Parts: sequence; C-alpha cells; structure tokens
Amino acid sequence: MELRIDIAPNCSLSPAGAKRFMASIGLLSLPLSLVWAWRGFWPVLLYWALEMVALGMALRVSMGRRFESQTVRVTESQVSLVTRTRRGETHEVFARHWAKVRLVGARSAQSRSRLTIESRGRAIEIGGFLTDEDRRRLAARLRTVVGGMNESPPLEVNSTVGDPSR
Amino acid sequence: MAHAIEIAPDAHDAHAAHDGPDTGIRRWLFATNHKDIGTMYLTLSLIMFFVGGAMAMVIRAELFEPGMQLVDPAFYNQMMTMHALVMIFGAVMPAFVGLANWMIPLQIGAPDMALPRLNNFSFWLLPFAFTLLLSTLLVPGGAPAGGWTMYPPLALQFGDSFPMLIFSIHLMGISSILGAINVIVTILNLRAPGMTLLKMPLFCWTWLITAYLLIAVMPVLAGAVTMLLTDHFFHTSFFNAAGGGDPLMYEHIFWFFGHPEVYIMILPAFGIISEIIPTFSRKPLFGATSMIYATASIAFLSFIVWGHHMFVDGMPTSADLFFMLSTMLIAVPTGVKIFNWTATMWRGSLSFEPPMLFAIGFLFMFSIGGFSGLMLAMVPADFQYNQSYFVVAHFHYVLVPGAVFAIMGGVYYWLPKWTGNLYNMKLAKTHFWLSTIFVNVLFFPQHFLGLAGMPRRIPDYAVQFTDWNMVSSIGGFGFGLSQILFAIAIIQCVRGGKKATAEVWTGAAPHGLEWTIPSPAPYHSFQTAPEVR
Repeated sequence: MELRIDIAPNCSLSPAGAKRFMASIGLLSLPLSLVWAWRGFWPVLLYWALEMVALGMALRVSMGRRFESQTVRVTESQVSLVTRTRRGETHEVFARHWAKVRLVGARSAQSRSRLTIESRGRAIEIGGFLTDEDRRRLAARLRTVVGGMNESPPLEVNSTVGDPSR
Repeated sequence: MAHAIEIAPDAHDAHAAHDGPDTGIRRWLFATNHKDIGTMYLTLSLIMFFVGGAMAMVIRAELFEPGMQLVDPAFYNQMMTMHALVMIFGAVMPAFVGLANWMIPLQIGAPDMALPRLNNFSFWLLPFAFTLLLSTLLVPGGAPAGGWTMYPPLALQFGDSFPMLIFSIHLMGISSILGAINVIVTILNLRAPGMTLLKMPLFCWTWLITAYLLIAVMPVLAGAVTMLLTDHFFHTSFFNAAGGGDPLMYEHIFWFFGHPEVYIMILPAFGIISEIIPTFSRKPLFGATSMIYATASIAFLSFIVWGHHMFVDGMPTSADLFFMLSTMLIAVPTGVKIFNWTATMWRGSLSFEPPMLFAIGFLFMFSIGGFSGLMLAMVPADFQYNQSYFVVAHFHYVLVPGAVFAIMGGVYYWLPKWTGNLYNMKLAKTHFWLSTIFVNVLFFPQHFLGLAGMPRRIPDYAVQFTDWNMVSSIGGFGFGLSQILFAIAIIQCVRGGKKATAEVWTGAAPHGLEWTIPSPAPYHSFQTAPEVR
C-alpha cells in the first residue's frame, strides 16, 4: 500500500497567459514610447524599458511558484520525496520507521514556518511555497502517516495539498 | 484547491507558530501583510486629505472677498499648486491603493498580495515623497507655484523647490508603478481556483484596468519631469525654445499622462460604486460584463483625448475636431455605466445605509461633472470656458463628489469588515448630508463664476464676482468641517462599537468572498484558497 501527497502552490496564471499579458501591455505602451522617442523625448523610452523589466521580473518571481511542486510517497517501509523546481528534480528517500516530521513555527510576522522530514542527521524541507496554514495542515497529515522516530502507523488514502490540477 | 486535512494539535507548534502581527513600530515599519499596508495607505491618505483641505481653506478664505486679505499672491499660488499635488498624489491615489490592498486579496481569495515586501517598499516611499514635497514650503523661494502641470518655462523659474518637486514626483511615480505591478501580478496569478477573470468582482476589474493605465502612462510622466530637470540643471533644450526645443511639446507629453491620470483616479471609484449599489438594491449588477467592456473602452479612449486640454494652444482644426469627437465618445461607455447602475436600482429593494447614500450622491454629482465635461469638449465653447472657473467647477465635480465620495462610500462599506465593529450610522449619514449640501454650495456657484468670466488661478477678482465667491467659500468651510465627522466616525469604529457579523450588511446579502470570512477579517485570511463555483 502506498500513500501519495502532491503539494503545489495555487497559480491562476499560465505561462502562456503571462506571455499574452506582457505582449498586450508591451504592444500598447511601446509604440507610444517610440513616438515620443522619435519626437526627441527619448527619456520616456528609457523609463518604459525600466518599467517593463520591473513588470517582467515581478511576473517571473510570482510565477516561479508554478515550477515548484513536491510529491511525498509513503510506503510501509519508506518515505520518498520528489522536489521539482525550475532547475529540475531531486529525489530523497528515508526509512519510514526512523523518519520524523518537524514543524518549526514562524519567529515573527515577517518570517515563515518550516516543515521538514528528518532522519539520521538529514533534513529536507517540505512545502516551502505553501502558506503557514497549509503547511500546518500538511504537517498534521504527515505526522499521522509517518509518525515519530521509531514509529510506523498504519497507512490511509491518497490526498493532495495545493493545486492538484498542475 | 487545498484538500481539507484534519489538523492534529501539537503543543510545540502551537507555541512556536506566529499567527498575529508584530507589536509596536515593527508591525508598521516591516509590514508585509496586505491589511496592515492597506491601513497605512488609507491613514496617509486621510492625513493628506486634511493637509490638502487646509490648503483649500486658505484659498477659499482669500477668495471670500475681492482684494488681498490674508496671503500674498505668491503664497496663494503655492497653496493652489500644492493643494492639487497633495490631493491628487497624496489623498486620492493612495486611498485607492489602500482600498486595493485591503480588498483585492479578500475578493479574489488570495492569502496576500503577490509581492508583499515590494508592497511595503511602495508604501514607505510615499511618506518620504510627501515630506520632501511639503518641505518645499520652507525653502528659499517657497513651494512650487506654477500649477500642478509644471508647464515650462514657468516651472523652470521655481526656486530651490524645483529639484525637490521633481524628486518627490519621481518617488510618487515609483510607488505608483510598483503598486500597479503588485496589483496586476496578484490579480493574474493569485486568484482562487474557479475565480475566472469574468467572475472577478468589478472593483478588481477596474483596478486591473487602472494598473494597466498606470503602467502605460507613468514612464511618460517620469520622462517629462526628468527632461524638465535636465533643461534646468544640465542645459538641455527639450522644452527650451532658445535651444531649439518646444515648450508646447511639454503640454502634449504632460497631458498624454495627465488625462489617463484622471481615469486612474476615477476607474476604481466606478468599481466601488459597482460593489455598493447591487448590495443595497438587493439585486445583481445589471450588465456586469458590459461594465467591464465599458471600463476598458474608457481606458482606451483616455489615450486619445489629451488634446482637449490644449484647444486654445493653436492646434490644427483637424486635431481640434479629432480631440473633440474622441472626448465626446467617452460619454458612451460612461453612459453605459450610469445606465447600468440606475437599472440595478430599478425595482430593487433599496435601503439607504451610508455607503448607498454616497453611491447615489456619486451617481448624481459625477453626472454633473460629466455633463460639464461634454460642454468643455466642444471646441468653440471651450474657447470661452478655458482658464475660467467653469473648468475648476467641472473637475472638482468629477474628483470630489466623484472620486472622493466613492472612496468614502467604500470606506463606509468595508469598514465593519476591517474593524469588526459597526460604526455610528447616524453620524455617517449626517456626514453624508452635510458633505452633499456643502459640496454643492462650494462648487456649483463656480459654474456661474466661470460663465461670467472669472479666470482661475487668481488670488483677486473683480467685484461683480463677490457674491458667488462668498457662497462658494462658505460651502468650502462647511465641507471642510463636515469631514471632521468622517474622521470621528472612523476613529470611533476602530475603537469599538456594536460587533459586525461576517456578512456585515445582514439582509442585504452582499455578494463576494470578502463576506465569507469573519469580521474583522483575520490577520491571515484565505490561507487555504477557497473554491469559487
């Protein structure tokens, strides 16, 4: 028996949608700036370029979440974790009996909580892109299936945290 | 959509988790929560509203009688210029950004704005910008005195205040752009599952289009004021006729920014009114999709009407005709909106709580501003009205009972959701009636003054204009004093009062995700994205 938990952030904008948006705003504002530049008022074009870079970076940072996801698989003997980012995939495997789930709360309103699976000196973060509340729920869920050190509770059904459509 | 998972209580986690805000100054200085930042924007806006209002009182006191009574002409011009800058960039725009910060995440089911630290930075630029701007009153030569449009060559003759003015405008512009970027990214990327664009509340739609406008026109303002700066300090000749430049082109550039700016100040107001009227009519908004298209049409048209500010500058007749017709075209989508709001109220089960009173006041008085705008759009008529008090009456009807009434309506609509307390309805209604009476006493006579030939931007006038100026000034003082009731109503509500339910307007069944969470809205709302069906 295997329990699988997929974790992904909620992103309502697709990469194609982001491209369409940037194209629409660029196509509207670039000709305007070019007209002013052509009339000799080139600083307008300079500010336009700066603004487009800022907008593009903001979209890229926010959409970076889309490339992040994790899958936790819990079997009778193992806890495996697949972490996907923009740079690729990493796999980690823990012996279920010796693994434990640890949630360290946020220290201030500006920081966030941190959820890890730990075993034999190794600690891997789970759900770094989730909200604190989602992370707390995930921690509670994982504790029921992974258990503490030297525990192997019975497995249950599949579940998903975040956006399962991705 | 996050799957519902049972939470197992854990003593260690419960102790370590930090669910509420920081305490003391850190909460505000390092705020990343959209509600805290929204509150800071709204507080700054209220302060600036009173600062700009005090400047207006100086203007109206001086104009109470012909001749010079209280201030010298140079200071009068400084007050007139600073009043405009403070009200536009300090009161109206930050108020809308504050409302956007508070309400957009709540309305789309997002836990916060997409870029919270950027949000903090956007806000904290503003106090510095306005400190800089207001401190120009203390420098040799005084504050800028050539009008908020900063036309060269007059603007280039400002004293030490000139670079401070340009720098403060840059700071305000950066703040606006970053705020707009945050709104766009939040709306596009953080909508709850099922919240398609067409299901989005009208307030979010109007803000999305406003943010689009801001992105398109802010580089033009930034470029224009930078060129003023280089003309002044680095001897460039962008607008210097002696060096081959063209001062008239500054007017084109400025109004290419300036007219969309007017819509930046009114489109979010349309969104607020579109939220309030359906609630207190107990009917869905009539023609919601057409409202979105009308907003987008107004935004598009705002790019091709700037020349109507310059009819007397000597443009070719074909250009005059183009700008006249394109300006008149704006009446069509605006008319669609007025019709839809009226149709929403038609046969609705109306009730007249303070937000609804302000919305109805907006509807009537914004229409007056719209109609006088149509008169000004006609080239031959504009030749008569230009630079007269008729223009002052027109844009104040659009901005005060238009934008400002919508902001006040929005505050009265959502304040119980923010604080968890109901405010004093009687006080709020008194505030509405006094404001409505006095705003008309203040601005309506200015139509007569303008039509009779009184020029704008003057500290003294011919004696035949005395009576209506006295009436207008009495209206001004009355309107100014009435706003103290607004501050009292807000402060009382923040301090306590009868507890509001999650729905707040019980019986009106307001529609939207913000009414599904408790009042006051929890510090971390929608930590798990809701599903919209």
